[in-house]
Amino acid sequence: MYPALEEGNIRVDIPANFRNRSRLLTSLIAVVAVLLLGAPLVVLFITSLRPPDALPLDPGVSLDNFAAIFSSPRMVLVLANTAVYGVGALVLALTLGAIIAFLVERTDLPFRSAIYSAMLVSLAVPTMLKAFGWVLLLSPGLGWINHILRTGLGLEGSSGPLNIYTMYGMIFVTGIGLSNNAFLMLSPLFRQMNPEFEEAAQTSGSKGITVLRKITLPLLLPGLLSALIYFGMVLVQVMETALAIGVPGGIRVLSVHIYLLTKAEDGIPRYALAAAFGVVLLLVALSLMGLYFWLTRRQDRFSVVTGRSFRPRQLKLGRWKYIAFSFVMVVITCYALPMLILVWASLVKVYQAPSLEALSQVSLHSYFRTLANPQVQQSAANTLTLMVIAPTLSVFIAFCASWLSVKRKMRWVEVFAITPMGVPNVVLALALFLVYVMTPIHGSIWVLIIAHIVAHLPFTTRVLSAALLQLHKELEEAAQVTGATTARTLRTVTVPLVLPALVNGWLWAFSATLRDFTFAIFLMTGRNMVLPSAMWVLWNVPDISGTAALGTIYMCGFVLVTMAARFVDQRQRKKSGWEFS
Amino acid sequence: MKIGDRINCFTAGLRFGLVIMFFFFSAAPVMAQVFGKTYEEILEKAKREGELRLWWEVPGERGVGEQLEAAFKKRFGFTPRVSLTPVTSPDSLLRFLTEVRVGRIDADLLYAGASDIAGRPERLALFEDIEAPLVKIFSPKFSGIQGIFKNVAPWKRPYSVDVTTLASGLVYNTKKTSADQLPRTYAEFAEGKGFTDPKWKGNFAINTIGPASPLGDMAIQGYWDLEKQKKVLQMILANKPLIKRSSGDVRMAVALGEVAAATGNIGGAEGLRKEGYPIQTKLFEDVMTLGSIGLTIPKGSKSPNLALLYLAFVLEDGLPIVERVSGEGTFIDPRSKLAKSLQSMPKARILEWTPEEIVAGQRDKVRKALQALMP
Repeated sequence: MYPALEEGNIRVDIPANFRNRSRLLTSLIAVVAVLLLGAPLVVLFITSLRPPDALPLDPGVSLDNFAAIFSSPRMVLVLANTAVYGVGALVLALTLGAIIAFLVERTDLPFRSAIYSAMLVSLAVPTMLKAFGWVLLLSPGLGWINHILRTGLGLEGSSGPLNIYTMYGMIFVTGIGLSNNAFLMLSPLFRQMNPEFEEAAQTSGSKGITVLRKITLPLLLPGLLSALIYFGMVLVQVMETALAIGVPGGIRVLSVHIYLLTKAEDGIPRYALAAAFGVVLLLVALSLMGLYFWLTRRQDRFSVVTGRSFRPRQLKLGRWKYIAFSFVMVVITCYALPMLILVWASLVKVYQAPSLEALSQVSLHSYFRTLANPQVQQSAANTLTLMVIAPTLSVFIAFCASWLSVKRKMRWVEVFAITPMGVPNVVLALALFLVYVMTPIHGSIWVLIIAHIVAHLPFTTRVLSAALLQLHKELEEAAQVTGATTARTLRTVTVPLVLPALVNGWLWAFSATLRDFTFAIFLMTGRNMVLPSAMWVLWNVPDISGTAALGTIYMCGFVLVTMAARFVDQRQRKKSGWEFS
Repeated sequence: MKIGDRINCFTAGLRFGLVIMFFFFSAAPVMAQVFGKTYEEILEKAKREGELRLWWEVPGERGVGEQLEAAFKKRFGFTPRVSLTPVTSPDSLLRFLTEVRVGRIDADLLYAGASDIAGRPERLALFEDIEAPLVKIFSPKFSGIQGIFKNVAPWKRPYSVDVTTLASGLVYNTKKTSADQLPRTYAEFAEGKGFTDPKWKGNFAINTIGPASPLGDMAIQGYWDLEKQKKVLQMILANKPLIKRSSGDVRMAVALGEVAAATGNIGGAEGLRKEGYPIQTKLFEDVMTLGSIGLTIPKGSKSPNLALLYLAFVLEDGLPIVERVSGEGTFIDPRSKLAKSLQSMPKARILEWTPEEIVAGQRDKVRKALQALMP
């Protein structure tokens, strides 16, 4: 039996067995969502209502934690600092990410494939190590760049002229650090944009800027808004850079403020207070998501990939090619510098600034020592398990949630999937600990896998729903009209079309899992030690060269994985006729 | 005898009986039931128990774990499977207390600050008496143990024994400054020879966010009153210190030469010096503030005998290994360099928060007041 067609607007009557399968899938997703997300969120809410001095699972109900948040005397200054820091870093990250995504996806910039890979590689380095790399480069008393500037400019004194421990330094390091995430989120949007709309505008006499303002930017709106909301929430929570660079310079932002409030004077962390912060931030995130859904309520307007074939048009840069290439190279150098200084730190037993004389000190001693460490060896196997399973399941669940939200209009699923975005990782880790401490998976690698799936769902869901929004419903409808089942439609139509977003989402989840310290430390036991926890132990000693060596090994491992993912992605592009020329 | 007197007599007898029963059932039998009665029995049971779930961050540092394993095998002839969770002290206690609530204890030997346990009877009840078996059974064979227990503060007994002492002092980069440039005493430190001196402007670090007070509890037990502490801290902050988030970060800043000197926990500098970093430590001659972290055996441990054996081993052979490799000593071990350096400063007052002060809220009050001044 063929589905019925209605005049004017295509209506597809899905056969009963398809509807049943769809319901089954929906129910399955709902169960998974409740188990993964509902339980920790409920625990989070309950914990926020515990009396301030109580331990988790202690009895008692109180609103004192919420009162403490809003009556804190520093709150105004902290919020002002957070606003300046957040807006500055957001503007820098999104501007750089969007410009490079546009240049790579839509222009004839040379070496685009290599640039794409370079954008991904720096994702492998944990934020704390990147911040440390910048300290080695730009600290007033220690920084290598400062040393070169003093020598080159003949400046007197032993410190400056640049100082990383300022608000500018924080914005720079965070903005640069997040710009490759923004690139990863925005590049599929540029890649999947059908140029027919722009061409039609140009044919009717519109100039470049008008086309950009009236066609390109409005079409990118959902993706850009999505990125803006996501990174806005991330910036409220990110703590590593604020701790490593802001605190030494006496700048306190919200994430650090929460962290400090959770460190009670009696040594036992105040998690009830942290949970209350988590609830407040969750409400902020949900409000922002509500705003996003309202702004993109007529989602069909943003569908740019339709049933008619298209080939993304490449903009010829002409003589601007060299300027654009130089700009990208400057940004990539900013990614590379902290990593290179870390590689250098791993090669010298006692750290000293890079110089020709210091070359005689170079050896692989730290690598041999670190790799011989039984804890590192034991952690490597667990890490492998975690790295394969967590990103894969995260992307799979995110795809299901996005598909149900975008294609089946079940937006609550997406809202549910992105709620962890509002919860700081340290609070989420506590909630997961309290949920799973009563089960056999407590202390096993599975609790870490679940933690990473939950924590990365917001990003992977955003990436995939933005990509699915661009697929016009006629594509799936065409498949179903010809008798394809839902599963076959997904396998042969939807998944291939959003494969770049799937690959990007997987790579991002992989790198975020690799970089995470919070879950690795908070949920750590002797049975589930992973490389980030091993690195944390080295960092706290402090074992400078050992930490740098492990960081370098991370980068190498990530380069291999990135290359493999890029290979898959490019093969798919070739199939689709989207390969770089 | 009147009926009232009879009742009184009966009540007195009942009380006496209950007290005897309490001691009979609570004290001696616990040791007999949980741990083996003799060294040989403990050793035998420990071998059978097989796995030790150890929550202690120190074996994860600079090859300490490998050296401990080799030394254990040399002494006892077998290698237990050690499931090491290198967790830090406040977090370990929180986790442990939460696990206790749901009846799932995941540790056999736990690293925790005794001061956060001692003042609270409900927490004290969660740990085994380790002193009796260690002193009675192990001291005849392990000469160091009795000496160590003589130095354990009474309020930590009998459930905890210090394995790490966090001693506050000064760390400095020998290429950037020298010991004579640094103050000798806390008094000098406060009166302009310390980091309030303009010559240190922007060239020193303090460790201080989180539970620790900005200057390592510099005026514990009224050495300075709170107003004096606040004044000193304000002067120090006006001199633009680099504020680091942990003792490890402070040591790293000094070792790398980012700043010339810093205040903070001096432990761990030895490891960096051995690697070749130009770092040195200096204690104040008039006062030393300490914080101790100990090892304890929780009730409900799956491998109590192995935990006890390992603890005895740590006290006898392990502590010297830890101090030699990482530089983290303990004040209670007479063999430790830290203890010896204290003996060389007879005038130094040793100050540590007591559980009574903590329960009374004195520590929290000082820390909160000083944290409020931090940027």
